[in-house]
Amino acid sequence: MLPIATKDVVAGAVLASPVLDGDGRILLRAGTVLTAGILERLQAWSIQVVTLRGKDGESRDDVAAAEPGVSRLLARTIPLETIFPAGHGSREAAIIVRAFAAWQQTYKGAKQTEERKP
Amino acid sequence: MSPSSPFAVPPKESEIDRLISRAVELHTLPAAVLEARRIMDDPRKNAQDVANLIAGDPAFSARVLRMANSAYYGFRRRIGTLSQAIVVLGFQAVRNLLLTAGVIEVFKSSKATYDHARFWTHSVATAIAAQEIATRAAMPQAQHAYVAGLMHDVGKAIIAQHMPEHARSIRELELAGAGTCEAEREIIGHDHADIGGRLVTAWGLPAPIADAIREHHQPQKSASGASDADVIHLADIVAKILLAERAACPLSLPVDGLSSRLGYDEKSLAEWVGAIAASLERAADFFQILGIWAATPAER
Repeated sequence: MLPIATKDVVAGAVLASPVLDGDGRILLRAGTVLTAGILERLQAWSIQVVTLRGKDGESRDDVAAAEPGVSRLLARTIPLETIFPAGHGSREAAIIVRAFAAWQQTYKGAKQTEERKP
Repeated sequence: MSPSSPFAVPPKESEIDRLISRAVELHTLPAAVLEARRIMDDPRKNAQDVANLIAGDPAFSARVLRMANSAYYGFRRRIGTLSQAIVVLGFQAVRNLLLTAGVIEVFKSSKATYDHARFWTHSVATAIAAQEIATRAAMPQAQHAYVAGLMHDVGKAIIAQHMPEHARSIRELELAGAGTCEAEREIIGHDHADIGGRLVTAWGLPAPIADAIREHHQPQKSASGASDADVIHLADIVAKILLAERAACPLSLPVDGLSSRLGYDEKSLAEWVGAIAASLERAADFFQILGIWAATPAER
């Protein structure tokens, strides 16, 4: 359940917690599907932040629920020669590549252990 | 400029300088970022003072709350107020988030002259790597490293946005085998490191940050001892390797003497790389909060 700016919400998202007015009255209940019309009203009411429910039913931010791009980039295996033009690599660059490959192994191992947990 | 170059354009130094000056004037750091830096540097101010300032910007407030509630901080209880979030994150993280979001905003352009997501992914990754390296190399001003890392290639964004014709000529020279810096100097008389240095100087950021940006491809030019340029030089290389990017400038790297200046050997370099990779992995939420969608090459 994470807050997100109303202007960034895409129609179809589901509220994880109720939207209250300045006096604490409920304007929209948790579980409300935010249609384009409701989103317009939220803007008109100056409700700038809402919390959303994730697609899996858990309270997660819809944006954060997407696959993290950086994690994907970090998971790739890359040969040294594709990064540096021929002749520009060095011994230290090779150490960095080896150390990174070692980290990837440990990291993948840790991830798999995590996934096996009930 | 060599007269034989097939891509040479007539040297109009003054016109190029005018273009660069105008571009530097156009991109000003938001006043809120400067104000937040001032408040966070003042030991008499507390989280509530920072919260009061940030509350004026709903989009940024939402980002600070999202970051405090991200998996990285792992709080079971929801962090609901800005001042709580600032206490949880710490001034350093809030300052980095504010600066990074501010800088990316400043360079937002409707014209797709370069790959925005890819550019900022590399810049933020370099900033994170630089912060890790500066801490491990016991640099006296480790907080400069993040800023210099974030801004190290900003000259490229200026060239792409404000000199698209020249950017095309530079690209042609690169395709013909020239290094980026070399091609930039050939076409516009300055490289992106110079232009980036000019921008942060105009922003009034500390001189060591401007020097680090200016010298990040040739850190041996800096004064004796480890410099921020050394840190950025290594951070740039590590970020390129970890996120599998092609080196833009031909880097006969790392430069001579870097290991003795920063104080690493084979074993500690390997440890640093592991720490940087772990730090980038933990920062995955941070990249998303910034709205940087780092796509793998297959998705582009």
